[in-house]
Amino acid sequence: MILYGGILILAAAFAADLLTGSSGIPPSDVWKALAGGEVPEQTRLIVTDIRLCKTLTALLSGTAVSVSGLLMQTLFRNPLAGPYVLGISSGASLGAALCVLGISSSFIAGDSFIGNMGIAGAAWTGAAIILGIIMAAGRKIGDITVILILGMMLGAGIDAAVQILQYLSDEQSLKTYIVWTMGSLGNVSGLQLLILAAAVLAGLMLAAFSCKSLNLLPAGEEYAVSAGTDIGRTRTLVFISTVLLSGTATAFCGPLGFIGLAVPHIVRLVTGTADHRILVPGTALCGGIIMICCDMVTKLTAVPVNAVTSLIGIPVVIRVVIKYRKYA
Amino acid sequence: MLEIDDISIGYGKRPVLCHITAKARPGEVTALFGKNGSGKSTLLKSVASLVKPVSGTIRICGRTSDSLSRKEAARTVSFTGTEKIRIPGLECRDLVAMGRAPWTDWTGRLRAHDRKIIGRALELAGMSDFASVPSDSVSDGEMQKILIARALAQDTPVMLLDEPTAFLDVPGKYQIFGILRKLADKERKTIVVATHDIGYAMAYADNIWLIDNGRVTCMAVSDPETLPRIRAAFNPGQDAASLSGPPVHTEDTEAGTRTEG
Repeated sequence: MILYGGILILAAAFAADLLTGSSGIPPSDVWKALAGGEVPEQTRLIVTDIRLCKTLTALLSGTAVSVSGLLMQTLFRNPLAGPYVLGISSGASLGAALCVLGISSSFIAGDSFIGNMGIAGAAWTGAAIILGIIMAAGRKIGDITVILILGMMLGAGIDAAVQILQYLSDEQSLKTYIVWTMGSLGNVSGLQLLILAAAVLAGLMLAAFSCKSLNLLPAGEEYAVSAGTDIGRTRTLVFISTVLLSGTATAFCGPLGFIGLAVPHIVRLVTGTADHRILVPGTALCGGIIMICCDMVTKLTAVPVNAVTSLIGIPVVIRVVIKYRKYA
Repeated sequence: MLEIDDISIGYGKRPVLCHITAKARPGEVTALFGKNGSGKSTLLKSVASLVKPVSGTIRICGRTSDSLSRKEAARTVSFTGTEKIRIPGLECRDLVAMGRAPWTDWTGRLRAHDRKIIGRALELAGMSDFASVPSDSVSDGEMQKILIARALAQDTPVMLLDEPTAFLDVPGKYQIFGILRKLADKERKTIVVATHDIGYAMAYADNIWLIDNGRVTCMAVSDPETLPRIRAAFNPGQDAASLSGPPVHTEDTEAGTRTEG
C-alpha cells in the first residue's frame, strides 16, 4: 500500500518538476512537447532536452545515493553510514577530479562515450578504493565509531588532495570542477543519462538480489553465516552495487550530501520495517522523490542542489543521533 | 548426534585447544565449562563451521562438517552467540523468522509452513506474547529467549549456545536452563551450552565438557567425581557448595522430566 502511494507521489513530483521552470511554459505546452504535439521548437527543446533530462537525472541520482546509503548502513551496521559520510563520494570525487582537472577539457566537453565512461570509470575506481579500505578496516577493527571517523578522515584527506589539484589546474578546468562540486543535475547530457540509468539499474538489481542476506546482517555476521549466508558473496555484491550507484551519481552530478544517509531513515520511519525487501524499493522511490523535490527548490531559488540536500538531511541526521544514543 | 574426533582449534596458526575428542547425543544437554579465554566460544564456533578446525574431524548427524554445504550446515547446526542484538523496526517475530533463512528461497519469503514453525518456536520458548513486540524494547532475558526461539525456528538437530545466561538474573537463568532441558527432552535436540553458571548446569545438564589447561574432559553430571574435578579446575581452595548458582541437584520445576542419574 505504502509502495503504491510512493509511486503516486513520485509521479506527481515528476510531473510538478517538469512544469517548474523559469521560462513560464504553460502546462498544456509541456504536455504537447512531451507527447509530440505542435509547439515552438524552443519550447520542445526546453521541455525534452533540459527539463525532462534534469528530472530523470534527479530521479536516478536520488535513487542511487539513497540505496547505496542503505547498503552501507546495513553492511556496517551503522545508522550514520552513507556514501558521503564514509568518504566514498569523496573517493569518487577524486577520481572524477583527476579526470576533469587532469585531462584536457576538449576530451570532457566533447560528450563522447569514451570521455563519459572515463569520468564514470575514474569515479568508480575512486569509490572502490575508499570503500575497499573502509570494508577492510571494518573487518579488522569492528568498532563502528572508528570506521565512521576513518571514513571522515579519508574524506578530509581526499578533499585536501582535490584542493591541491585545483590549485595546480587551469582556469577553465577549475571552473568546470567548482560547478560540479556544488552538485548539478542540469549539466548531465543524454549520453551521461544513459550511462547513469544503466549503472543505477545494475546497482539496484544487485541490491535486490542481496535482500535476503541484508536482512540477516543486522543480527551480526556470525548469525548471518550460521543461518547459511555466504558472507563473502554478500560483501562483493554490496561492494559492486555501492560503487556503481554512488560512483556514477557522483561522477555526473557531483557529491550529493546527506541524501544517502537521511533517506533510508525516512523510509524506515514511514514503513516501520527493517525488511530490505521493502526498504530497497522504498528507499529507491523515496530517494528519487526527495531529489526531484530538491531539484524543484533549486529551480525556484537558484541555490546549488547540495545546499538543499544538506538542509533536508541534517535534521534527519540529528534525529538519528538522538534516537540511536541508547545503542551506543 | 555430535562427534568431535581429535580436533585442534584456533585462529590462524595459533591453536587454542588441541586433540579434543567429545560426543553429545540427542536428548541430552551438555554444559561446556572453562575459564575466560579457555576456548569455549572457539570450540562452539568450530562445531558451527564459523571457525575452521586446524585438524581433526567433526561429525554431525553422521556427516563430517566439512562435507556439508553452507545451507546443509545451517540446516543441521544452530548457533546462538553472546552478541546483544538490538534492531530497530524489527519485531520479535521477525527476529525469530531469521532462523528460517536456510529453508526459504532466495527472496527469503516465508510460507505458511514457516510461519507455523515460527509460532511453535515462540511458544516453546515461552515468548508467544512477545511476537509483535519491537525487538529493541525487550529485556536481556527476554531477548535471550527470543534468540533461543530463533535457533528453534532454524529447526536443526544440534543447538549450540554460547553463554546464554551471561546477563540474566536468577529467575532468568532458571528459565533459560529450564527451556533447554525441555527442548532436549521433548524435541530430542542435541544441546551444547557454554556457561559459567556451574550450579545451574549441574542441575539441568546431563554431561559436562570441562576445558582445563588446554584439554577437554568429558564427564557425566551423575558421576560423583564430576563436581570435585570441576572444583579442582576452577578454584582448588574453595568448597563445591560455594560455586555459583542454585544448590546442586535441585529439582527442576520447569522441565519436570529431569531425573537424577
